[in-house]
Amino acid sequence: MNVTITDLHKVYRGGVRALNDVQLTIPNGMFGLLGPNGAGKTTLMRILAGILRPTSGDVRVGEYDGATGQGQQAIKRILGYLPQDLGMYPDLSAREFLDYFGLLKGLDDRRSRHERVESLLAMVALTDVASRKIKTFSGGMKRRVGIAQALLNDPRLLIVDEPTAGLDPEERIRFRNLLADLGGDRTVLLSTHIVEDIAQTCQRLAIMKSGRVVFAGATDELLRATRGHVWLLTTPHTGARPQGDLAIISTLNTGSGAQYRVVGEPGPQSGAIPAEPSLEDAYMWFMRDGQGDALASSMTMSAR
Amino acid sequence: MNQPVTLRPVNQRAAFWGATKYEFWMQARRPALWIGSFVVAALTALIILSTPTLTHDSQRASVMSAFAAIASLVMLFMPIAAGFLMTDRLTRDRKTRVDELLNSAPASSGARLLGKYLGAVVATVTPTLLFYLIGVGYLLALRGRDFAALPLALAPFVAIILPGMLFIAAFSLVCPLVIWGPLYQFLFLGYWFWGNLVYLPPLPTLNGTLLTADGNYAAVGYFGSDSGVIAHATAAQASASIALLLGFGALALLAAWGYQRWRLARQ
Repeated sequence: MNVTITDLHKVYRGGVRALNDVQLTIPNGMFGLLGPNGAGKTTLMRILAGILRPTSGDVRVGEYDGATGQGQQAIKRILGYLPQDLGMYPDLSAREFLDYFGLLKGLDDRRSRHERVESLLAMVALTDVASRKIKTFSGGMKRRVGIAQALLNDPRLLIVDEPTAGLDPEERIRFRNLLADLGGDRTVLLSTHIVEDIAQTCQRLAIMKSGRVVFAGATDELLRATRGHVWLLTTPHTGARPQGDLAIISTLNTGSGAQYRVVGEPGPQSGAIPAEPSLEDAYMWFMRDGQGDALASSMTMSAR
Repeated sequence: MNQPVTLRPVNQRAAFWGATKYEFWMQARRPALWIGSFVVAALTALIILSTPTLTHDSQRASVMSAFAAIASLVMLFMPIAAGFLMTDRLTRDRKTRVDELLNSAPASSGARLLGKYLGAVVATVTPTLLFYLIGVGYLLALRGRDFAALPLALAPFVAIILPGMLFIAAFSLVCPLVIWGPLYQFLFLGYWFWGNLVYLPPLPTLNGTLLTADGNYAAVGYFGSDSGVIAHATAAQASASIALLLGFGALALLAAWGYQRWRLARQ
């Protein structure tokens, strides 16, 4: 199922422009949405989920037009949504919460709803604590309840906004693996500012900056465009940090000095070793001032 | 290519009953519901038991009239507890941030609101019902343990207690959408005393009018109880009072539904 976004604008009261002429097509499978805080990712997610109205523009999810009331209702029936600020009723147990939302999502047959709830609890490894109140759950456990509720109606469009924020490394990996299994014949839109989450799960992504999509395409394209711009530089302890038209990605204390991973043009500095770019390198390279526009114009953008 | 999919419409009735069920349990499980209701009930019982004429009169009157008197006494202060306890039921969706999930679900906001109201009010009124039944049991014990009359106690509960409770529950649910909850509780307390308990002519008051929520019109009009402020009332007046209370309660819910939709569209 394709999601097509055309000429989308969102201006909040007070004149805050959150989305500025967004054009994007999201195909089937896992699709990443990257960008810094304030880029407009959550606003875009909330519009797709039908809980925020755009100022102007079109959203189509498959054959359904998100601009009409009927279309929005249809989209909600095939939608699974895990918001960034995940709220739950603390006094319900996980099982009760999922049963409640199952009813709100149209699972009115009691037996099949109970079976669905139990299978989802097993999938997110919460069966043993399903009768405990949600207020006793850790952050990671609450997130797992959140993904379970998003999957209740077997959605064809799954929107997941910052799912791993605040989770410990083990929970984050567990969550990523869970999401990766969900691709297949549904569209999963994963929004995050954690590049590693996208790198591990998505073949295609879009990058947003200041309310605009500045890149949309395959992760391979992004990496290819970054090749030749990622370097390893080693300096002695008494040496200064690398200078020049560079962005420092990471610093490693080697004992005798420091090794910097940088993107940019190191200039005629000796010892700069080219490195194979990661998605994080590509993101930093792409987000540098002016670089995004240059790269965007030379790469394949999603069709208007 | 996108394959057309035939989607079944969401069963809004099932969503409504689901909301009713879980809102009932969330309210019923609150310790504050039982502690607050117990404190108010204890205060009311203290007042009743320290007023000998009240218990003496209830033994002399007909059994229905006596039940009605018990119901009127229950309605002295229990609605205050009920009003306070309903204040956060709707606004907590925003505070707990569960409203994002609720608004992304295909169940209509109307079904959810109605279910929330019904579930929460049934739970909130349960301690009042128990208190009333204890009062009825005590009265029957005083009258020679005529417990066969117990089922008759349902009618005064439905006519005197329920309409007022439904009325204040609706306003207590929706008003905090537009004013700060604690401020609403303060104003509600003032309204309850001014509009239902206090009668100081020539000061204007709702007390003694068809809009009085304490059920006294029904107590006098249907059961011939002596309410003090309302000397005489017909069954038609009692019915009109109930209709007004339920009607205004329904209007409050309708206004809340419209306000929520407007707010969502305005974001």
